[in-house]
Amino acid sequence: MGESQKKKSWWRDTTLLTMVSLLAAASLVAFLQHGADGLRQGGENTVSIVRQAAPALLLGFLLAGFITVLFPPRIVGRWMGDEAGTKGVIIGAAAGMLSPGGPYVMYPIAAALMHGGAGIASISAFAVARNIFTANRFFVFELPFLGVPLALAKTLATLWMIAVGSVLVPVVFRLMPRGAQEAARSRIGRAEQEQAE
Amino acid sequence: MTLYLLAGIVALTLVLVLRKEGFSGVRSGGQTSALLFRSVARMLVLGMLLAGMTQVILPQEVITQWIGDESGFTGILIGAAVGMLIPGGPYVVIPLAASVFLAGAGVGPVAALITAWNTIPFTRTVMWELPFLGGAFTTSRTLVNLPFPIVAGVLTPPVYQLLV
Repeated sequence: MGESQKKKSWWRDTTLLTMVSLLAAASLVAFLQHGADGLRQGGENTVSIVRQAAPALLLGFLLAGFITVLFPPRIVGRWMGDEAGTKGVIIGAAAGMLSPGGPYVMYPIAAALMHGGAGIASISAFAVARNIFTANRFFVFELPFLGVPLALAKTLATLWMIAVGSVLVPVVFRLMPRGAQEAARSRIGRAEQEQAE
Repeated sequence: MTLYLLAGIVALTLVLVLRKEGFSGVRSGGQTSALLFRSVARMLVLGMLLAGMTQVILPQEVITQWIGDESGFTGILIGAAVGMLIPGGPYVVIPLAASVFLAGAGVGPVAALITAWNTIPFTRTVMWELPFLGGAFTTSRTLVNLPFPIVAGVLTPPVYQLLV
């Protein structure tokens, strides 16, 4: 992938276009509902979201960077690459269930692992496991607030979804357009290239 | 609390990096962090703006009203929709789910709400997953996860009956 890839024009970046359209639509609805006040409130909410997320986000980025040093691409490839098979899926799922912190930690790490050579199967297992069951969330939030029967019943009724998701997400991923598949794997690679230029 | 835990883990990995590769390891880790930041910064800002606007369009009171004390399959569908749309971390959503449960909502709708918030949350998906993992992965994972909240809403009540 890397070298043959040309710098993409911004208007051909579908991810960016999707985001800009969603933002435009949401702003329009907010404007129609509350006028200029709605837009200002949205801006204020954004500032408080940035403030809330910034410290953890910074730590998340640092952690992702250090992890790539501790687990260089060669090792990540061997443990979590597509060749690793079931072992990679189990490692991905275990990492997902044990990973602390919110999305600001999980997604930088997932992106770093993907850049380091982790296969789609392992990343899927990581993401699906992280969503379905997190030890931290279960013990700190679900057990105390929902009570033992409900928390436990919900967990038992959903745990198998990790296996189903880990198997099916890669299958669906391979049906996606080739260009989009490669873009997913080379996001950091592209930034590296831009910096080198 | 989570922030301190996270800071502790970062400090621990920093020590491990120093022991393994010395200062050059720390520098190259920092460079990777910076590259990661460069590659997602633009999308992250847009995502946070979108999350801010979503909170204006769908305030929490509106969301709680929707779920009311519906039960049965309609309740599961409403629970799933609410879980998908509700913004916020576990400190917002789990207590909300608990209060909805105490207010009389069934086990199924509550399980559907939490599972939808876990697997197909609108703001988290566009704000975090899309920038970091790209459109192809995000779309595939969302498609596969789409039925999970409904299935959780159907399967949780019988398991709950066995436990109480």
